[in-house]
Amino acid sequence: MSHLLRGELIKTVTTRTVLGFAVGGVVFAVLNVLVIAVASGTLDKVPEKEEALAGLPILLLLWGLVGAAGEYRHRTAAPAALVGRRDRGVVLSARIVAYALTGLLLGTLTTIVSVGLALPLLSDQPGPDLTSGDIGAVVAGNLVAFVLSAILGAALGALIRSPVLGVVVLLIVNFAVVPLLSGVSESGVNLTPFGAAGILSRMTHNTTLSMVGAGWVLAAWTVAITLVAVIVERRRDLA
Amino acid sequence: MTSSRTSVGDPAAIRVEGLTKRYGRRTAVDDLSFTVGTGRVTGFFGPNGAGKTTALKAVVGLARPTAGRAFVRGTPVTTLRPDARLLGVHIEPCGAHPGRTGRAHLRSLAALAGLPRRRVGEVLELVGLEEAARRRVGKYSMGMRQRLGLAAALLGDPEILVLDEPVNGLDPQGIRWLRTLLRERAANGGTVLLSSHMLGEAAQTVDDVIMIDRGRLVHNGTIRDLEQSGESVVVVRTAEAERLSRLVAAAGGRTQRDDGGGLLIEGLDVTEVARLAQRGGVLLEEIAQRTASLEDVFFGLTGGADR
Repeated sequence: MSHLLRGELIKTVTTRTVLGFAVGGVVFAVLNVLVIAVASGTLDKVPEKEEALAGLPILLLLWGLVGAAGEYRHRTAAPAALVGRRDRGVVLSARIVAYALTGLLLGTLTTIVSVGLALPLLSDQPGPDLTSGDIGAVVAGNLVAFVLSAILGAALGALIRSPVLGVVVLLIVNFAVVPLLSGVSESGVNLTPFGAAGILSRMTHNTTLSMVGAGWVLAAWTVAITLVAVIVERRRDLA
Repeated sequence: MTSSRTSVGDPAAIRVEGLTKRYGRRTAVDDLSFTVGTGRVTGFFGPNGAGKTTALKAVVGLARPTAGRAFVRGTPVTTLRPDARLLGVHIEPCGAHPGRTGRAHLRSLAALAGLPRRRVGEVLELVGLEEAARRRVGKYSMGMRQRLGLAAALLGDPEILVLDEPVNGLDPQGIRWLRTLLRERAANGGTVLLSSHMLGEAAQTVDDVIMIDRGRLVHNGTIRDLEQSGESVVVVRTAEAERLSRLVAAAGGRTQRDDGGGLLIEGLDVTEVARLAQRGGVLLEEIAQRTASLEDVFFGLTGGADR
């Protein structure tokens, strides 16, 4: 398995895509901090201050999805399957782990930028300051959300096999379907991967679902979709 | 990195039994059976769209057959553990991300295959891509992509090579290099199965021929058998073509006009035609025997000339 992981890691870091996502993640982190901590007026409650530290798990979802679906678009999945010395499901699992690890790196980078930029700005705000426990919980929640999102994205990418289609579907679901659903049932949205990731990253607060609960919801979706992707990978033809 | 690979009593390197692959209502490969002998270069021929690539994908385990089975060294390919040391595969396109360098592509494959990193440099040198190794694959010419695909197939120095249209995009030097490489591998006991739609070009490389058309097997034998199977024709030039045609028909032969205004006669040899003409008082301006080329045989077996 280690040789598979090494090979898949080489693939994830040897195109410009990883650089693009790193830059995009940092730019988003800076914008989010500036919008929340500077342009949103007074932040006098802890959840509002936590929002300034929130990451964007959908970026990592896209990272996994674009990368894994690109394996089929560029026909790089077939050569990997032909040399991997393990069945295709195991090769895909290694690929998903590679996206999880690189997702963790990307997530750590954006989190460092968010925390480093937000804390000095938030210290000027009235109300209680964020304790080290609050900051630790936000950072941990974000990192868990990032890693699970990267895994979920890679699994979805392996199922959809088309980066463009995958991104379009993902954006429609995130920006159209989920908001519509939240109008019907907010607690229902919390049980979707998008809702759970929002709670986990502290982008969403004042909900009925705790961070730990959101973590379990997102993990359950991730495990289920990953299992489906691995099973399907074993059965489908490779181009 | 060549070594003696074969031993007496080895099973066929590749055996295919009743392979069928359907996509919806379309049958791409239809009840195909053949064997590929160890230490042989076997050509897998057919016109474009004959089902060659689909069949090769099923043979190497990338596509699941609708029916039938493929075996590699006696093991069903569906249960075979993928191993770059056993099976080296190049199926178009080369399977490299356009944004990745050629070296990085091979490095990832070497790692996936559990091969030492030095193999990357060795195969890059073997295929003549050392200088282009740090360029992104998207900037490669078609011939360079072919070489990169071949480098990936050769990475594990495999016992069996399966190559889909390997000469596509190669320049004459590249074709000669590939021919030498494949012949050397076969001489050292390696096995090669290569597909092509150009029989004449590949004829100099292959020992055995498998020919398919519309997914079905139309010929399986040695290249020598195929060369000898071509029916020869007698080419005649005469001002009395109509009369000679009647004489030939009466003697059991068949005639048709060729593009140059001559007469092509099948079913009789050159001596018989000359005697017929002499007896019938037909003056011949030119007479010659012409053996059908491999291309003619190919078209004859696949109906390619009519498409």
